[in-house]
Order: sequence, then C-alpha cells, then structure tokens
Amino acid sequence: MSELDATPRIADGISSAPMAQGTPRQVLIGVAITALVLALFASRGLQSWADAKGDSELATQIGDLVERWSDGIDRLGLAAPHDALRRAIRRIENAHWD
Amino acid sequence: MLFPTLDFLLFFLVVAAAGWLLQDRFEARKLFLVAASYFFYAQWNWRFCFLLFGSSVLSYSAGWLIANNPDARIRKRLLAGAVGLHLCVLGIFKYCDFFIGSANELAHSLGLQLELPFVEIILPVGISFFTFHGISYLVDVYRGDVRVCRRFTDMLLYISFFPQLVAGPIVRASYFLPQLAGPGTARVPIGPAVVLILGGFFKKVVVANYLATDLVDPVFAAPTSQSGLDLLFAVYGYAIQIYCDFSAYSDMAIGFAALLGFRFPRNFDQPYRAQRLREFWQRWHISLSSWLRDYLYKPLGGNRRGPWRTYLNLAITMLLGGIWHGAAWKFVFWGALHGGGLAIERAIEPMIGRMPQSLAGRVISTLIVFHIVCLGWVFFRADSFETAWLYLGGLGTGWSDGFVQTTPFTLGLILFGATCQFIPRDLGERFGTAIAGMPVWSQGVLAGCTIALIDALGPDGVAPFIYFQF
Repeated sequence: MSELDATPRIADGISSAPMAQGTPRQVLIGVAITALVLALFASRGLQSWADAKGDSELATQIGDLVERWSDGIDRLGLAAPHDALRRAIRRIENAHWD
Repeated sequence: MLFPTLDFLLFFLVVAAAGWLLQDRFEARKLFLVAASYFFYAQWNWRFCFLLFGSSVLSYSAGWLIANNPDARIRKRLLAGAVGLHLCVLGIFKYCDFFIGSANELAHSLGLQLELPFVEIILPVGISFFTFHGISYLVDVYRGDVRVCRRFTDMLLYISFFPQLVAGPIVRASYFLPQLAGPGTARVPIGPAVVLILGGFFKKVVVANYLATDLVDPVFAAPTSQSGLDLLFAVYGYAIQIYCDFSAYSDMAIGFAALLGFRFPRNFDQPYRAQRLREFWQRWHISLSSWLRDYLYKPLGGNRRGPWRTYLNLAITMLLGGIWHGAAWKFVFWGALHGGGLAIERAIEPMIGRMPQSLAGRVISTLIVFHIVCLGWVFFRADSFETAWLYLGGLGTGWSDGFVQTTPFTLGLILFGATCQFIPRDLGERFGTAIAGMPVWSQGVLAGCTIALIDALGPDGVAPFIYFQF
C-alpha cells in the first residue's frame, strides 16, 4: 500500500451515529429564530451591515430602519452584554507581557 | 458572500424556506438550489457565472459522449480532450501571468530583450474547485465508477452547489450524484450540522482572524525587523490560522449542506497530531489529497513500478499539488518539500518503522512532522520565495529581544488551536447528539446566542477565507 493509498475511501463529514433528526420545517424555524436572536443581541452587526449597503434609496431606507431598531435595542439594554464582551476581549487582546 | 455574515444568514433563510416549501418536489428543489448557487456565486462577479455554466456544459456533454461511445480509443481521446479543455481554462485564468513572468525572467537571464505583456486576468473564485469537480466526474464516468449524469440540472447542481463552490471540500461525482437521483430521506441531522457550523464560525471569526491581524500578517509583512522568537511563533500562529480558517470553511460547508439534506465528505481530521508526513496528508485537506491520489498518483503508476518510480510519483504528485495552490515558485517549493519529505519518509520506513511505538517516539515524531509542515507554511504564507528565505534566515537572530509582536492573547490562541488537535474525536458528535435532542426553538436560541457571543468576541469585519484565492 502506498503513502496516499492508505487514506480511508471517503468518510462522511457528518457522523452516522443514531440521534434525533429534524425536518426542513425545523431547519427553517431554527434559522429564523437564530436570525431573530441575532437581531436582538448583536444589533451592532446590523448597523455595519446596513452601512455597507451603499447609498441607494433602498439602502437608505434599510439604514433608517436599522438605526431605529438599534436605538430601540439600546434603550432596552439588550446591546449591553455584546458591548461589555467586546470591551473585555479588547482589554485581553491589548495586554502585553510587561 | 462569506459564510459568517448577515448577508449569508439572510440568503440561507430564503434557501431554508424554499427547502421546506419544496420538500415534496425534489426536482423543483434541485432547480431552486441551482438558481440559489448561481446567485451566491454572482455576488463575487456575475460574469464568471458563464464560466461556471460552461464548465458544467463541458462536463455534461463530454460525459455523455464518453459513456455512449463503444470505441475504447475514442472514449480515451474524448476524456483526454475534455480534461485538457478543463485544464486549459484553469491554466489561462490561474497560470498565464506566471508563465509570462517566468519567460520574461528567463529571457533577461539569457540576455534577450524579450518583454511579453502580462494578461492580468482576474482569478474567478473557486475555479480550481469546480474544475476538479468536472475532471473527477469525467474520469469516474470513463472508469465506470459513476453512471453518466442524465439530467442537466444534476450536473449544474453538482458543479455549482453553493456550500462547496468556492473552497471545497472537493466532492466526488460518485459521492454526490447518487444523492441527486432521488429525494432520499427527509430527515436532517440538525444537531451535528449546528455543531459544525458554530465550531467553524468560532475557528474562523475568533481564532483565525485574530491570529492573522495581531500576529501573522504584521510579522510576515516585515520579517527582517522581527525578533527570532516572534518569527517562530508567527509560523506556529500561521499553522493554527490556516487550519482554523480552512477547516472552518469545510466544517460550515458540511453543516450547511447537511441542513439542506446533502452529505459532504470529511475534509480535516486533527492534522497536527500526525506522526508521519504521510499521516498528515491523510488528515489535511483530505478531499484534495485523495483526489490527487486517485486522479494523479495512481495513473502515474503509484507504487507499482518499484521504489524509485514511487518516489518520483510522490514528488510529481505533491509538486503539482503545490502548483495547484498558485502560480508562484514558493508554492512549487512547498509542493517539492512535501513530495520530497514523503519520498524520504517512505525510503527510510524500513529503519524507522511505519508508526512509532513508544510514547516518547510518538511525541518526537509529532513534533518533527509539525515542524516540517511549519517549514512548508513559511513558503506558503510568505509574499515571495525570496521573502521566505529572509524569514528563515531571521529565525536564528534577535532571540534576546523576546516576544514583541506575540502577545499573551495570540499565544493563548495558538495553544487553543494546538489543544484542538488532541481533544477526543467524538466530542463534536456528543455535542451534536445533545443538541439533536433539544426542541427546535431552543436549537435556534442556542445557535443565535452562540453566534452573537462569537460576533462580540471577534474583531470587526470578517476577512475572506484563505482558500478563496485558490
């Protein structure tokens, strides 16, 4: 057997171990809930996403909508954990040996 | 459109919605996935969608001609012609300027006044990957390993399916096309898919991105002004960065494909724990190394023509694997290093044994293989062949300066990446099983909170995946 011959034929990337399986409907619900949670707790990302959309009329409308949404999230204090984590990781990132 | 972005999340939301609406209409779902894949690809440059389509037409029509021609000689010529066409297209886009530059340099060194103009063609994202898909299909049809693809939609989807389109894994026709033959099961392995996607997201956004911006990029940009210790740890950092970057893409591709009901092959298997260089290639970019084995090394004769021919075949295979990564001498050297290493390892195998037996032997072997791989990464990452040598020359100097660029944070990321190589292999499976047992709403909340956490931990913006350039 040669060097490369010893590689297993083709192994699946997903384990074939028996476990609960979902349906396409559950996938859709899961992705939708993921998007909602992100809109609530990672709204800073929404802002930069909208900023990158250019200055077309639609992009401006999206930008306004995102700004109002982000303001609302800020008032509710939902962006605070995200901001606190970001500040903490920046402190760790900037730490030096001395 | 990168995986860890909001654009992709919205795109995937639409694809998931269509997947649910069309779950009982498999042909319509495939057609939708083709359209979605072309939309995904058009986000980089819509003009190259025609190239993608042309590649599919070539593979489909040549495959049909090969399968339906009874004359073995004509079948062989058809295969050679179609594979040659695929490689021509790849060569024009990827290697044209390399050969022009090399010809100009050669002419200058011979004292000739020759200056061929550079073509400066934009490299289509993922061209190597979809070319390899096309070649794999044609060779498999010729060998009889896969049935000829009757439906053009299937060929379009096989070549363009968006999770693997721009950076693999390379999915064989014999592996993927049978999945398009019928609707199969409607059950989706959500648990393991979520684990792969979230794990990939963390590896890319946090580990790979920070290592790139805080350590690897600044050190490789000016290697002559760094301390020896920083140069050494920047190589280690790059080893972890490229692993976390590339395996993240593969993991996410496998996860997203699974959520749409398709299986992809495994592409990485804790490569830095390898105790032999041969083993490293059984764990690193598995879909490429097995592709090279089946479509290049074996047709060259493999190990069937004596030891010297085997060494030569190994060297040729890895050399071409290096050139596949890019048209530059640094990739040629990288391929030659691995080819030479594999050949030497094979030659001395009677003395060192196939695998080390003792614990000390295993540790030493792992360290040796890791450092050979790191030596290759210096050439792979450096801006040029010459810079790589400058980098290596600097490794022996300025050790008294200690760490300047390497911070506790980047060192922690390197240690984290190294630890990932030795965690139990079934850890992801255990997490997957746990998530699979959760109600769907809590799976969504878990995924959302984890992505929000990773987004908070990561730097601003997401750099493109390293393998997009190949």
